[in-house]
Amino acid sequence: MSRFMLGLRLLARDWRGGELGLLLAALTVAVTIVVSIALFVERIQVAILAESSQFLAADRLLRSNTPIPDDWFAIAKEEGLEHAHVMHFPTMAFAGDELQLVAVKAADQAYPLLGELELKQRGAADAIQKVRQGPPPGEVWVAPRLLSLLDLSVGETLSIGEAQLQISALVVREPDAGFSVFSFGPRVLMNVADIPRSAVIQPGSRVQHNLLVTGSQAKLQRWADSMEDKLQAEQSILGVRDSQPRLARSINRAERFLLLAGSMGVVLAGVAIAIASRRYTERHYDYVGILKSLGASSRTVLTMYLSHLLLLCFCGVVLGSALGWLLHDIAINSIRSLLLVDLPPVGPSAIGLGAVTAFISFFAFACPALLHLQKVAPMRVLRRDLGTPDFNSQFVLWLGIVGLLTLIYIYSGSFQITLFLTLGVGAIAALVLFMTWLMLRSAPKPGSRAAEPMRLAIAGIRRRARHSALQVFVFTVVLLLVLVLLLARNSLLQEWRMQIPENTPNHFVLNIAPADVQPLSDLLDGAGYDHAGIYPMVRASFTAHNGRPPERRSSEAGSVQRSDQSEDAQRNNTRQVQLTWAAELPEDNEIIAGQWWTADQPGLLSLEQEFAERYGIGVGDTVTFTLVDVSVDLEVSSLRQLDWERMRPNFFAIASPGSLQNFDAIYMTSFHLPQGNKEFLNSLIRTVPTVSIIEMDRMIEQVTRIIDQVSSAVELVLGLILIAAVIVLFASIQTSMDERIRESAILKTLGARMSLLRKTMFYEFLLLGALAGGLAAIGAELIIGLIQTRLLELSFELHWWVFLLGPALGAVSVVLLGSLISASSLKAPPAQVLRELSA
Amino acid sequence: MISSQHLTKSVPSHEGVLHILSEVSFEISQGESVAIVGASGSGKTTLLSLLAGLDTPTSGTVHLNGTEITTLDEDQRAAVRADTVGFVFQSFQLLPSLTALENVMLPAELKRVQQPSQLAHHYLQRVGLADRVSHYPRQLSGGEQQRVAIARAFASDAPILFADEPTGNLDTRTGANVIDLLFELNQEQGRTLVLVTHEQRLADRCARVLELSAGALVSDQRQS
Repeated sequence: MSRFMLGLRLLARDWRGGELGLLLAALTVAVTIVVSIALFVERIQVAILAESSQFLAADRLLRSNTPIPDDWFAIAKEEGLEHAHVMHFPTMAFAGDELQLVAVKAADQAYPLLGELELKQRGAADAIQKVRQGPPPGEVWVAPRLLSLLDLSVGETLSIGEAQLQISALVVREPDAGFSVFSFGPRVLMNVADIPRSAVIQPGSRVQHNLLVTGSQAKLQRWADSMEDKLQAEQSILGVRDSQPRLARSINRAERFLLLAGSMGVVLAGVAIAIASRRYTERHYDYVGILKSLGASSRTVLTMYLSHLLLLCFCGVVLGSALGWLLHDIAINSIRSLLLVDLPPVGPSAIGLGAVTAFISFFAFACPALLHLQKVAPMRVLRRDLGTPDFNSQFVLWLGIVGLLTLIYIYSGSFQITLFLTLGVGAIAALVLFMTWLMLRSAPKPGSRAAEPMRLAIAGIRRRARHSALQVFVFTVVLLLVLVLLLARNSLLQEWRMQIPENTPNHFVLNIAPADVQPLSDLLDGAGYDHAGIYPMVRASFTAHNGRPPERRSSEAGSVQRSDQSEDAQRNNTRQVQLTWAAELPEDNEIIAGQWWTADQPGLLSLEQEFAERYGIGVGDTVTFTLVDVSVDLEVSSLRQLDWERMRPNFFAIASPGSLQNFDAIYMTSFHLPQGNKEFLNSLIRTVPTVSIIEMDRMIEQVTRIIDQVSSAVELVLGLILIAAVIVLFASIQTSMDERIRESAILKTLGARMSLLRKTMFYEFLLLGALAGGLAAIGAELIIGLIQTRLLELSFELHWWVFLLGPALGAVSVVLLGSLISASSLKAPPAQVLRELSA
Repeated sequence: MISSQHLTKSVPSHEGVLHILSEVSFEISQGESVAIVGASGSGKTTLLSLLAGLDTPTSGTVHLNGTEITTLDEDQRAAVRADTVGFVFQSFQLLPSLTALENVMLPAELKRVQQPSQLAHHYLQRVGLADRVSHYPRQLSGGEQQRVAIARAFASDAPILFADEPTGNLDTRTGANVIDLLFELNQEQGRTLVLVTHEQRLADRCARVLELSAGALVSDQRQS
């Protein structure tokens, strides 16, 4: 019989003896954490991205101001991508004598590639009908408010240029509503086939042509690569992240948070395995001593235990994968109602990740213990104290660290996360060692009043100094990870809530003539709608910087690359600049260089910081703007930082009052229109007919829903990590229980009362838990500082409450779990306890 | 069968080098039963561990069944133990997660003997535990556990049997029964028996008594 088979047989016997339970449980927990979080994150990421893609109604979008060449459609088809053609343009729509500026979207039958159009047949009372294609030729679908503007009803005819089109439905929602450039006026959705006979598009017409594509990531990338050389300067390929930079940032942060949480799951899993292996090893010293005395060689012992562990690994992977799948399914189901898209099926990669985690954890955390086991001397059968080999703790430590780093890197794929977590855990280890040393030096000696539970508790901690230090370290790491995750989650949710607060302006009014400013302001005030001020706006060319043509430091126009930073800024970075003037610094703007002007200082300019950086403009420089043949030189007096996250008018360039009197200005504003009050837009149009309205409410609604999904995902992952943390704490307390229970049994034999023992154990757990919680709070603040500022791109703030929560959480959790574990053993008769522990 | 020449074991201590055994020399022939006696701390258990190859001496040699084990490494000594030596310990040293039968089978399994279970059943029957084969050590009394250990020692089919205070953890009556069984089986099987004891009663049943005092062999008496 081979050693392997002998190993397996002994494993089976060991299993019956109950020895392997904890190790298998730790492994299963490790794999469960990793698999459940990986599956959950994978599916949620895809779901969130899929839903976000509906902003474009496609995965990618090629945007062009000139007609898209026919062969570009052929290229998309050759790459195996689904594609659609959409044109956007403003035009006048007629019905009898009435006319109205409308925003036309002309789409082919393939539109929308992603998401659905929501239609109603008649009025508000009708049921919503969801469709996945645009109107057939000869028909139009229109925004409900167009009907009242033109006094029309469904079934009647609307003229777009020369074409007479029948209104066959009302458009309630378009998936890509938030991504229309010409949203000035009510929507008219028509078929692209009707465009030629309408003759509305003439040379010089402002038309945006969009080529929408969807397909696998690989195909999309190949397509984007092949198109890169063909794109003109004014053409670009956008993904959801380019089109919705705010949302992209939220998704990026959520992804990073989930990766962070997953990485912490991996750390917890590693700790669980290390603890369980150590306990398993310690409980097997005698076993190996006996085997060796009976003639087993080191190799036999090693092979035997290796086969044990490999088989355990396999069982852990199978069990953990199954449990992980179940757990993620429960989690997904609990937020399914928030998800509008179908979830993608589970890929094998998450299970693979679970298996890799199990095996790496085993080799990094369990193998050192195993190697240690084979060194047990047979002499142990005669003298227990002589048979324990020296532990090469340096080697074990390094192996553990390398294993941990590998795991976190494999899991997160992020060097930053790996570095921050490693630094954090390393700092905590040093802190724990120092604190333990301090504690052992300064704690009062038990002395003669040994019957006091607090003194007995301190004596116990001191006696088991090494074990106590290790335990405090494990508790600290677990509590630290929980606190870090809690803090990260809080700042994320807070940031998201701030991003789209209640009453965020959801309608922008542009092209307000100077004469219309007052009537509009009166109308808004009369209706009780808050607005963010009515700003003058001058569109001028940025023609010179210190008398020379402006030079851009890096060109990203037409880029197909994704960039995390201020896509808004990049997108608007043409030489055409929207200028405004203001006496006061707008709310949410912050001066970072120079000074804001005082009253009556014409000729000054304040620039947005990134814009200034891009052109190398500093305070004191002169900037020239030109409109037709009128130029103005302005001196840069300050640089500003803007909060691009806020949905409100933001300007790259603000001039001091009186600087732009030679330019004709039009005005703009934004206001919050409560849901269901769309008819107000019609009275607005009637009052100030020349303005254009951009309706952002649908987009805001979509962003809010996605943020809700992401928040729920974050909460659930936090929940999973908390479960894992409790299990690790449980395992860690369990390892120290044998010694504590043995001591209690001896004390009971000597006449100690139950209440004394219970109190002693209570104080011991209380001290260890509170100490670990305090250390964890310090470490968590350090790590969260790094994570907030470097990873989640948020600003740092100190959380004082963590320094109260940490020790309290540590004390309560350790005392509760400790009491739970020790309850039955404390009650058992001492003889039984001693016999069981020595067996 | 067993030869010990100038066997010395010293360990460093706070007060300098501590000599546990000094220059102990003797020979034991096949089939002999030998008791090693002496006061606590006289070096009995250390001598047993060196003879059985569980530990290595500071100097001197041990030959077991013709093989010098003092020059071998741990794994080579383990191989010699597997073929040559059986043990009975004071604290029984049964594996808690194995049943009585599995504990007895273990040495045979390690030696890859065919059908170890038959052999184990035979010896468990011989020690009177045929009805306890599937019990775990914690379900057996001390006397029963020691009988399982005796069955395991004989089932290993080793020519030499070492016993370290085999009655040390048992009451007088149970101890007497266990000793009866040990000697009875040893006589049946013709094995060489070396036992460490501080019980005169037990030493008296051996054909030869080696007495240690402060690590030195002070007497070597053959009994009739």
